[in-house]
Order: sequence, then structure tokens, then C-alpha cells
Amino acid sequence: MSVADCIAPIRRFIETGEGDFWSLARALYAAQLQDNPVYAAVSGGVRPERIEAIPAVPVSLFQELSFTCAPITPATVVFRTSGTTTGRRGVHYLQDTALYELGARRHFLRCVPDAPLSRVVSLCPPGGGDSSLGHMVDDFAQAPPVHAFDPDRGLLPEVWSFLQDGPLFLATTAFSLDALLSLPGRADLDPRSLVMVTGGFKGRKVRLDAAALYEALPARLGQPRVVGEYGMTELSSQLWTEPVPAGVVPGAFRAPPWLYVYTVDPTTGEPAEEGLLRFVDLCNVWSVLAIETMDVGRVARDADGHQQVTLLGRLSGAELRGCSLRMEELSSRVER
Amino acid sequence: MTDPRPLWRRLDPAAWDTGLSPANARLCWQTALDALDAPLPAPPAGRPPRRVLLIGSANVFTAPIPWIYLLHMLGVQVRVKPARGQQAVVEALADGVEGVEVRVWSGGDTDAEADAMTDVDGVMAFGGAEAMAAIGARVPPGVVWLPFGPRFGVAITDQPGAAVVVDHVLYDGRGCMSPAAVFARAPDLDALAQHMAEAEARWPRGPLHPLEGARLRARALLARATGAVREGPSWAVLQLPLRMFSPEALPRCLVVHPFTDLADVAATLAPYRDLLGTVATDQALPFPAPRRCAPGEMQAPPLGRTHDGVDVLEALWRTQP
Repeated sequence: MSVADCIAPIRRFIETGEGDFWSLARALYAAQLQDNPVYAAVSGGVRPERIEAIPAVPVSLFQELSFTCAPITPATVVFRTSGTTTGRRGVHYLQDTALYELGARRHFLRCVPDAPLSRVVSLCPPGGGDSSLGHMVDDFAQAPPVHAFDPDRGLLPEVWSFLQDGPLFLATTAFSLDALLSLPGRADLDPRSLVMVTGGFKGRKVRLDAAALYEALPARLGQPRVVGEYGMTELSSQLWTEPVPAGVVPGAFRAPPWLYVYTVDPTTGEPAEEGLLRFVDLCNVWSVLAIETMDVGRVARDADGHQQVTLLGRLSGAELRGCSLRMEELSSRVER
Repeated sequence: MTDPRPLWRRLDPAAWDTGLSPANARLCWQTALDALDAPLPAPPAGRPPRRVLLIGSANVFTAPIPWIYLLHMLGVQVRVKPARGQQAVVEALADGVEGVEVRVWSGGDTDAEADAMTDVDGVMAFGGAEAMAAIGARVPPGVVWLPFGPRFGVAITDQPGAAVVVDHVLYDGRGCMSPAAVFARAPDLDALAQHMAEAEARWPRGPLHPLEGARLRARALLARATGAVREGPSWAVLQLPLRMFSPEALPRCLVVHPFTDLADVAATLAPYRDLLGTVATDQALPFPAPRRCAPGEMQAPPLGRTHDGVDVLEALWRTQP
């Protein structure tokens, strides 16, 4: 069975719930070992007997190695991470984005069924390039989205004028939102509007105060609802919070049924109650289905059996800084 | 001038929280004190500074030793601000040594820092780049500022052996003089693994920070995919291609990059050249390095006037009229 053969049953699982996660994951893993020699080498050919035993690839390895289950051609979709600590960018290759888009839309609309997608204003990088976030936001839009962010210039000066009148979906990273609020202006968003906030609050130079940022919203944006998104370039599925009123900090992130999340002890890699987040994503068909992040969190199940992830931040090594060189020191060089 | 070495020789570093195993802490201590047995370098002409403030960095608990010793023996009063977690070490070094004073404050306490800088002629500081920039901005005019930011070391040799392993084992690879990587023409991974296992038995590794653990596992997977891996319970020898060089050393993880042409090593190091500190080598290098030494001597710099290529004494003495 090749990776391509795995797509139809995974699609059915997403659309109808037919099948079971472990069988699909096991089949996809076996196919990826066969079609993806780099993953086969990293995994050491392990034959897992449970989900947590599927070898997870640390996201840092996407900067060094090409994880792909098919030859890279001009038609291959390439998503790249933004700047990294080394200046190298992680790369995620997809032979097509159909499953990515199906899973992304399904889960988002389950979490926010009445999202006003007929009018999208994006403060994220535009789609069509190498940003997976931009691709997702543009794919959600039911009409051509308004891009108020330029990767080279930042937010457009007229950004506030895009936020007037009628319900809209405002997609933004935490840092773009902070940049928006630092510009003079305000908008009284329609209460049916939805503000999506994604991305970390700690940059290489600045750490944003998440609570202060969310609390500032009513005064500058009126009373839209706010939803948090968790996603990353190396992952095809996303997690969403419950929508909350403006001014409230969104809570835990809900995973879709085709994404399994667990946490591991950073030192040993063994499952732990709290630790690094690992994802087993059935939509990651063209690369590797299991990845390990540098984000720390906890996982619980809600009353409906859905996994809920509480994000606790990035694994920090601040106390390690000294006279020896750490990757974090290199990042400040890259910034300069 | 009292020679503090006999006092220091009686101390047991295993009593302090060094982040290392007791055996490794003792090895580091002995190595640092042995380096003081060399003759004192001649000071520059002119009057010495009256007092110098040393601001220590984390990771290498013996780092203040050569500078406290040298400045003290040359008649300079030394004020030392210990790095985080190293107050006990510095207090023990200063105990009973006239003219050596300990000042403790938390990072960011600019009032305490300003007070410590009021009556000094020079400030020598070691640590991260951000800390160096922040402290440097607050050094009073007229006071000599000697910042020493983070560095990394490498070994470049035909066939690395036990000496390079000891260089790596000291301070569990967390020092700026630890080899982040070993460039070797003909590495024998099995022999290196044997040396690492023997070193682990004699000087066990201390606890890992979670971030180090995560990065160790990632780097081992990288080597599994692109090179070769030899692993023990708490050590690893990883062979990686040159293009996967990283200047970040990880505890008890000896990274070996095979090479055939030194020009390729030079090209690999070129992006990081300004951060390169110590090079242990038996080769004729086609590039400069602030400090060169033989394998096995990386962690024992000779007592001298310079650090990272800077003539510290010249900088301090020149300030005096």
C-alpha cells in the first residue's frame, strides 16, 4: 500500500467518521516508511504497537532533511516556516493540498459553524506563497480576501479602513494584532465578526503580554468574538479554541478526531502528563504523520471525548545561557 | 600578596551546586587550579588598576578563577559578581583572600549594579550576548569595559582519541572551550565510543536540562538518518556530514564531522568565525583562531594576559595615567 492509497480511507474518516484512527495511522506509517526513505532512516524501521510508539520527528529536523513521500517537482506545494533560530527554515512538502484543506475546513467549521467567511480580512502572509497559514486563511475565504499585511512592509497603513461595516473574519497572528493595536485608529466590528488569533506570543526580541493584548480588544475593535488557532507549518491539521467574547483570553485548543495529541518528557521522549506536544496527524500524508514540537502543554479530554490541549509555552533554555554558544544566541545574530 | 592556591586546593567543589557530577566537578576544579601553576605573565608598564569588577557567567563554575588569581597576584583588588547559582563557589574562592570581594545582585537590579561599578577601573564580564549588550550600556564613562560574549570551540584532527573526549567531558560540554564538534579525517567511532563509555564511568554526566534533552534526541535522529550513531546510557557519538555542523555543544554528545580537505572545514566554520574561540588541532589551519591548542588542552588555557584574543591586562593597565 502506498501513501496515495491511504488518502481515500483517511478522507472517509474525516468526512463520515468511518474507520478507526489507529488502523489508519498504522497503515499510513507503513506506507510512509516505504515511500519516504528519510523517515524510514530516522525511524529506524520501528513497528509500533500503539500510537505513542510511532516515531515522531522533531520539527527542527524539517530544517535539515527533506521528508517527502514523492519526488519533489515544480507541482509540489512547499510550505516554509518563518525565521528560525538558525536562520534555516523548516520545509513541508505536499504533493497536493486537498486533504489539508478538507481537514482544515471541517474542523474549523465544527468549532465555529457560523464563522463569517464571506468577508475575510487577513493580517497574515498571503496564500499562494510558502505560508501554510496564509494558504489556510485564503482557502477559508468564500470571496477574495483582503490582505492587509505585506511580508516586506508589514501592515498596510489603511488597515483600519478594511475593518468597517458588516460581519467579517479577521485572521491575524498575535504579533500582527499587536502591530494593529499600535497603529492609531479603531473599528467597531459587527458582533457577528470573528477575530482569529494564532501564533506564539514570544518573538525573538519581544514577548507579548497575551492577557493585555486580548483585554485591549473591546476598546479598539468593539465586541467581536475571538477564537484561538494552533497550527504549524509541519502540521496539516489545526486546533481551535471555543470562541469567546472580545476581552476574554481564549482557552484550551480542541483537536480534530484525525489528530492525536500527547505529551512527552523532553529529556527521555517518553509519554508524560505534561511536556512537549507530539501530534499524530492523519492529514500529514505526504511527509511524516508524527511530529514533536518544542511547545509544552497538557492534554485532556472533554465531555464529548475530544482532546483539549492547554498550551503552556515554548520549552525555554534561558537558564542555560552562559559563555557557551546556544542556538538562541544565533537567532539574535540572524535578527540583527 | 597571599597566594590563594593552597586555600583553593583544599576546597571540594562537590559541595557546590555546579550542575555536574561530583567526580566531574572535581576534575574541572583540578584542571582549573593546575593551569595556575604556570609563571605569572609580566604586567604591562604603568600603574595597575585599583579595582576590577568581574561579572561571571553560568555554565563554567571555575571561569572566574584565573582572573581572580592573576589580578590578585598583580596587586589589583577584585570585586566578583557570581553568575546565577554560583554564589557559593565565588564566596569560597574569596574567603580568606584579602582584596577579593563578592557582590551579589540579581540580573536587572541596575541600582546594585551601578553601586558595584562606582569605584572600579574596569569591568570584565562573561555571558550571553544580550547580557553583554545590556551591561555594556550601563558601564560608567572612563571605566574600561571588557565584554566576553558566548563562544564555541572545535577540534580538528586526523584521528580524535581520548584527549578530545576529556575536552568534551569537562563541564559536560557546556563551556565556551568545549568542542561543539570534532572535524576528523579518519574518525574511529567505535574507539571514541569506548572512550566516552570510560569517561562516563570515571566522571559521570550531571543532570540534563529539558531543552538539552530534546535537542540531544533530535540530533541523534539526524545522525541516524545521515551518518552514524554510537550511544550509551548517557552519552553519544554522532557522525554527521559537514553541512550539518552546529556550533551548539550538547552534554556528552560528541559530534564528529569527517572531512578530507581542510578548506571544507574552513568553509563550514566561516559563517560562525567571529564566534569561534578555541581550536584544538594538530593541523596547519587555513584560517585564524583566537586560541589554538593541542587536543586535550582545550579546557586548560595557559595563564596569560589574553582572553578570546583580547589582551586584558593591556586594556586595564592602559587606563592608568
